[in-house]
Amino acid sequence: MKKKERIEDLSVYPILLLEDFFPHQLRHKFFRALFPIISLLLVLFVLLSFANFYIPKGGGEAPRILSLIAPRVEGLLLIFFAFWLVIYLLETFHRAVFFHNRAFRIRRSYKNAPEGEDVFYEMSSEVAGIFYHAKNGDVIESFFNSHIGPDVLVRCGILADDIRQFLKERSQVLQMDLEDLHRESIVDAVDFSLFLYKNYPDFSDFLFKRGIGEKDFTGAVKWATRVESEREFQERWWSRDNLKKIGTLGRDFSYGHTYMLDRYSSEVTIGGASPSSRELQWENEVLAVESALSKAKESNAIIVGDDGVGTMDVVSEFSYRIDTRQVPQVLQDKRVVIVDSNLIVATAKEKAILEEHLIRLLNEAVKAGNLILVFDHFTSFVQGARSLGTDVIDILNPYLLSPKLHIIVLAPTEEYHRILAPNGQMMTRFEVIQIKQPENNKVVSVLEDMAIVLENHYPVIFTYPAIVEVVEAAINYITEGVMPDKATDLLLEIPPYMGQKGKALIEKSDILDFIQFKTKIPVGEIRPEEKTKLENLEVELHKRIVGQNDAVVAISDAMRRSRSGVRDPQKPIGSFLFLGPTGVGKTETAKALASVYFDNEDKMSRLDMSEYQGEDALERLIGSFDLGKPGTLTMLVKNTPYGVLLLDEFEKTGPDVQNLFLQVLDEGFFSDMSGHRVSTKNLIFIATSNAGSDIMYDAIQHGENVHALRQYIIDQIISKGTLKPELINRFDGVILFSPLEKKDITEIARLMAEKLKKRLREEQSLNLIVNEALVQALVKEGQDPQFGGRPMARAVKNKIEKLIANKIISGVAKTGATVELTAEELGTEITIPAKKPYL
Amino acid sequence: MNLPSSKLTSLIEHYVIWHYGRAYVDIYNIWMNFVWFVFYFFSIGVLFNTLFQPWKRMGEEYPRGFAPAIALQTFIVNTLMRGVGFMVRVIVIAIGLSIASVVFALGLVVFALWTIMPVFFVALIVIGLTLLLFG
Repeated sequence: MKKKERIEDLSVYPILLLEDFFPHQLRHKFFRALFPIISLLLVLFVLLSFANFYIPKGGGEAPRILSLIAPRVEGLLLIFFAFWLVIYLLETFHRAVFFHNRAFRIRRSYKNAPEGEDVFYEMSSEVAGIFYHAKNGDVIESFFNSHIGPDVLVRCGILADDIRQFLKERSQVLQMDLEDLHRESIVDAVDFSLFLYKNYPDFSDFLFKRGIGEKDFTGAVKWATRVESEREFQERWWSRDNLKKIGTLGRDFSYGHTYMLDRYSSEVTIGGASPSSRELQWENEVLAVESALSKAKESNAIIVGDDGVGTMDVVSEFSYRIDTRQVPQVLQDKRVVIVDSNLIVATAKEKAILEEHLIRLLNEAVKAGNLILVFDHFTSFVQGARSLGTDVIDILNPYLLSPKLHIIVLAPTEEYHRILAPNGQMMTRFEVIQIKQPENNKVVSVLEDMAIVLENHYPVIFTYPAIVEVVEAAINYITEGVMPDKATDLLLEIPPYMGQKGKALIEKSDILDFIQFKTKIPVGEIRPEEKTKLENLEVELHKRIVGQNDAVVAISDAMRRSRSGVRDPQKPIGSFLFLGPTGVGKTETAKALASVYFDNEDKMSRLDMSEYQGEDALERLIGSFDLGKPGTLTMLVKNTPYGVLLLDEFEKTGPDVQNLFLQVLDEGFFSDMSGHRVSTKNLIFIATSNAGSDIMYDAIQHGENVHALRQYIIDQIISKGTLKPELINRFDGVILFSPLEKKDITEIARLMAEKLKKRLREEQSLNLIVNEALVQALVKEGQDPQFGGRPMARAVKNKIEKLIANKIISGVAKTGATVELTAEELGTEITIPAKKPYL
Repeated sequence: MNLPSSKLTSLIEHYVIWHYGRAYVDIYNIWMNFVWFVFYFFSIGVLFNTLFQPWKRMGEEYPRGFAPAIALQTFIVNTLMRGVGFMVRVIVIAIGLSIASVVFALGLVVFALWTIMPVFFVALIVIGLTLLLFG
């Protein structure tokens, strides 16, 4: 291996020298300054030449002044032009060396060269510059002052002040020589930055303290360098790749006119993403389209994917490759047009016209000889035409066989399976290309490109962790839509929001703030009132729940784990199985959580699982594909993606449904009828069951401690086959709700009475006095060893509400009155006069 | 900035080697890109290959069976369309080739100018100063 032993041997050395004498910033300044000067002198020169021509020679002052000024203007013009020329030549020299080095590195990369081959070690001009300009070998300071360093750090959210502080406070100075760079195979800025990160603890600690780990740093470095090389590519406008983009003239002379088609179609447009990220994202899909359309016959494709997943992007990229002649010979000079099928149906209005227009359009396309027709939302077209009595597939069929016409249809997944896939004949004419939701790294790359576009429109700068957070937030908190569409939509909403807040640097926390603002899911910084709520969650819950301390502590802990961000983001916030007899507060606990933490009892959705035990149980939960009906669980999760989902009488459901919940609890999502993922990551699942209640009763009657029997009860439930052991293990906690004791019942009675008092005050403007007689009456009526506290609600209704209703009807309890029920009244008698109203 | 004169000498040396060395290769490559682009833009190859094809595939189908009058009529129409196609293509090819020759010639000029650039620069300064100082 030949190494360049001295910096003077590097191919970029001339650039380094040039930067010493005449730095590029200065060159650019001169360049900008000289342009108006030369223009002005040129105008003056032309004017003076005209004047010289028209003003009569001979006497007078004017010709004399003219003859004095004109040559001097001309002289200045020539001198300034000479300066401009020198700067231009130096700039060209710089670029030539730079691009030569780059091309050389790409062609004969030190790292990519085959083993055994003689390679030359070459480093990029950025790395050489950092090394060359390092004062006393201090490469880190030089990195911060380099072209790429500040870009990388800004993408990490680190500003100039932080860097200055770091340089002042660091414990050691990292010194490197050329030999170190060789040994570490440092070729470009990416290698160099990562080397710094891994080998210079001061630097990685400095980043770590600002929340930047290795993954974020690597991402930021790659983004910054990608932007730079994208810019370099654009600068080389004379390259064939760039010149090709201008297009051509005359290629369509040999192909036919399409009058009818032009009425109903539009050309494909290219989106804002950069070529490299488009290629990264759609490479496989576009190649699949190319190979489908290159076939000798039946060269058509169905691109299946939901709205927003990028089916049209694949078409755009394919069209771009045709325009830039990157496709096989058979597809060259083809023209991709998007047929507006809705317009055809809407204009035609009746079967005969629709068919006539469609056939004429297709015939024209065949005759033209170079067309690829794209039908977006093809299934809507099929259905729309069907409503007029036309079978579009039947009409298309002969054309699908023709090698002279290619057809691409786009269809959403669900409709494709329902409408197109069953048509066997049609399916043989098409190659099916499924578009899956892209991997996260591809979405990140798309968002990086979009961020650059947004940065040109708004006074904002995105950090790399913010971009990653947008992707994660879109997956975790946005339930509607598919990736990458929901991530790009989210990104678009952020700059205007940040504009309102007057902040330019968009960091991860800003994205979380925005998510909280948009979805009301608390994910941003914990605010003081929320902090108090979280810290006192047990106290708040106990205001509504009597006893059951285990349950209260478990769900409070789950909420705190979730809110602090330490929970597993791939699972629901929490999942609990509440075991215990009826009426001991299982449902009430779920309601209390919704009310206390989520501020609204409506945030609790409820599924009575005893209704889901038949064969169609699963279908009713996740939806039926054949009937096109969405499922109950799907609807509940979509309507309340953040809250509590109560699964009542969980043990009564069938094995299929239990299997579904295995996935829901473990992976935080399930797939609905059409295969769409429905996220359950922002839900807290509470499954209740009275399995094992009999054991608890026995235990209580024998004076045993119920909680000591926890494992025994669970074993019994498993051995009886009520619930599968793996399902029980999936719950974050299995909590026993012990039967209520006398003091608990009294407490519940008091709570119930207080609740009624509150309701009467708000709705009837009555002031009910909660006295001991009332509480005891409720305890007496409402206590039932079999049903726990549940009969108490009935007692409130049957006994207390009845008494008060009678008082209202008899006119005793008027608006504003205070009502007190005595022991006597609460016994057998009904009518007792009330106190006078307060005035 | 205190820079040793050896560095300046080295810079000038590198520049001169580049100016009269690899720069020619670069200019040649860029020049060829432009010539290639003119051929590409005017689709000259494609137009040559399809020189006698009808304009935009316009024309009529020959009648089935024996109908000499209609067949003759169709022949005339189709020949006309081929004629139109031929004319348009020839015009575009002619324009393309003329521009390509201009680009080719400009390339030669750039080569020549590039070669005398240092002299040209000195001349600009000398003439400029003479005019400025002596009118």
